[in-house]
Amino acid sequence: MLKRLLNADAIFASIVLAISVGFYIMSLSFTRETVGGNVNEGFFPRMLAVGVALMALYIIIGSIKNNVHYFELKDGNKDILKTVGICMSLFVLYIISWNHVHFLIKTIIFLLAMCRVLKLKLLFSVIYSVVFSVGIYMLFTQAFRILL
Amino acid sequence: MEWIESLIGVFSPSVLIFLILGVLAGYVIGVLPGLSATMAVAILTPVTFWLRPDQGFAMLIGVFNSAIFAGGISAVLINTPGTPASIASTFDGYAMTQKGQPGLALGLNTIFSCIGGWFGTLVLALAAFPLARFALKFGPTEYFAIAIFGLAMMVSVSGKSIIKGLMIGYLGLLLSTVGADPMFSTPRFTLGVTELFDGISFIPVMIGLFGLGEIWTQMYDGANLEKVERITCLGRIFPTWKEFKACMPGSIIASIISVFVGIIPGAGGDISGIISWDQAKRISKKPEEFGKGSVEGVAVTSLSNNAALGGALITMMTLGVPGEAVSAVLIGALMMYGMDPGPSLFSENAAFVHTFIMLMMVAYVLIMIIGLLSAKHCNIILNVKKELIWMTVIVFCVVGAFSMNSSYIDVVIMAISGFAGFFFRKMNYPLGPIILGLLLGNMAESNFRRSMAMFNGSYTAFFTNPISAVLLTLAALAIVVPLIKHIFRKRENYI
Repeated sequence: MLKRLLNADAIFASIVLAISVGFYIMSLSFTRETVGGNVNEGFFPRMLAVGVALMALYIIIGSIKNNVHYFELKDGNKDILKTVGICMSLFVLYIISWNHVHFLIKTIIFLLAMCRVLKLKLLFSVIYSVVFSVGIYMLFTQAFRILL
Repeated sequence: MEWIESLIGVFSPSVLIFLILGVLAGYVIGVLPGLSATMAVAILTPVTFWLRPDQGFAMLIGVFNSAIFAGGISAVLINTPGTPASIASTFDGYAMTQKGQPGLALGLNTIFSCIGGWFGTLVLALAAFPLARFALKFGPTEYFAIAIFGLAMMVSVSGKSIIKGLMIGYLGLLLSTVGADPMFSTPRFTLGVTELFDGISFIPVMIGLFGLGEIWTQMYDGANLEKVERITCLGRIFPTWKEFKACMPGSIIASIISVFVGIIPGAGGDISGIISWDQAKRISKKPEEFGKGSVEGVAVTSLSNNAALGGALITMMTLGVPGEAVSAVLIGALMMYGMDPGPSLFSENAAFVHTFIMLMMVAYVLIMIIGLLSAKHCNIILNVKKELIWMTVIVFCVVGAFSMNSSYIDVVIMAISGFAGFFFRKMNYPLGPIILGLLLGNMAESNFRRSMAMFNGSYTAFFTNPISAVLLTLAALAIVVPLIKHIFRKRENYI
């Protein structure tokens, strides 16, 4: 039963349901009286939140009846899952470091790490990471005048 | 006179160089399966922010048109469409390659893509100005109806599940309410984050959903291009006059169908290609050759996805409603340059509209030249390591999202959208409706509230006005009819 409840559709629709409930509650704080009915700042989001919540509920109920597995791996290859997990984690670290580390340093390290995870040759990885990072840096800082 | 001035402007070196760069970039992106025109335009849009509008759009139009054409190359050579719009090109294109005529298939793809592109652009040039003049008479009720109609059409054609499409579209509308309210500028749902006062930035969401999300999906699916053998013997590239003449009846019908399909929000080159191929088969003298390497089949499918672009741009430019995802990104680009797509674009920036249309025309001239010259070597691109493309796109996504406003919050929004894009793809949630919801949310809400204020809170205004009544009825039918079909047939799974 728990397996039926914890399927991807149900989890995602529950998140959407929570978001719509949040929007609905926040929209109640707008109480301005307007011309032409009570169509103030909160009206449109409130209506949308109700609509989204109803559809999310429909999907949750439907997904319990009809449990679909969307994330089954091709040939059961769990290495892919590991690789994608590491790549996503590296990406998150790259984003977190955005305001704290210089662009060139963080990008070279990120690309080098990605190259290694994706099993590219070391020499090629070093050349690609450095050349591409410097190229992007020069393009944006010199040509587009954007401080990276 | 304005057209000639625009044409001269397009041929000025400062604009032409960006058009050439765009066509070349689009060519590479289009050939590579998995990299879509939408992704390319989304990533490049913030980069072009630093250019003049004519230069920026030269690059974007070059990428857009060229990627759609080049999607047919991989369809012909490896039976995998480079972009979704080229799905129908696999029907006969690959069969021609197997028959030992890859050169002719590539030649037909180039020639008929350009013919389709020119036809679509010609219709755009002829229809857009009168339509925009007509649309200037529209009031808030009509605009609200247009927004709802656009979203409903997108939902009805964009995926297997109507409910999923609806939910995601409504979620897009809901998220569009974040930021200053369109009537009184009251901050809403910003959670105290000042950067969200202007709303959720559209471009980072696009980059995340279509760029980063696609990369995560490809990684997860373990996508790997097999090494493509270099074709040394292309055979002839140009069709004979007899072959060309045989393609004409189907091409004429395909051109007309495709432009109309393009006009419908949500229906793009992929749908027009399949419909055109089917119609061309019906009227062909040799229908038995379709699917087995028919010259006519390759011609009409190459033509149709490019002709549909013109149709999609008609709705995008005159009404501000994107026909498909790429035109949604182009709307974002127009907004970035301070221009509002819709009828006011034609009255306030008529010179730019002329330039835009001329850029489309000249882009296809460049595509013709580059396409025919490069036919022999285009399979080299197919051998580029997929891993390198992934990493390059990831860094471009991050830098592109940051560069528009030099804002860290845009990078975070892009990253979240990227993960969302991955899950949406895996779980069969269509991406089009959420983008359209985000884009049309403001238009729908502001016009709804204006209408309510104008008509003292009466909802009847939406149904007594003939245009809004027709559009809202069509919108309702677009959603209800497939649902009723489902209930009666119970064949498809809508959850």
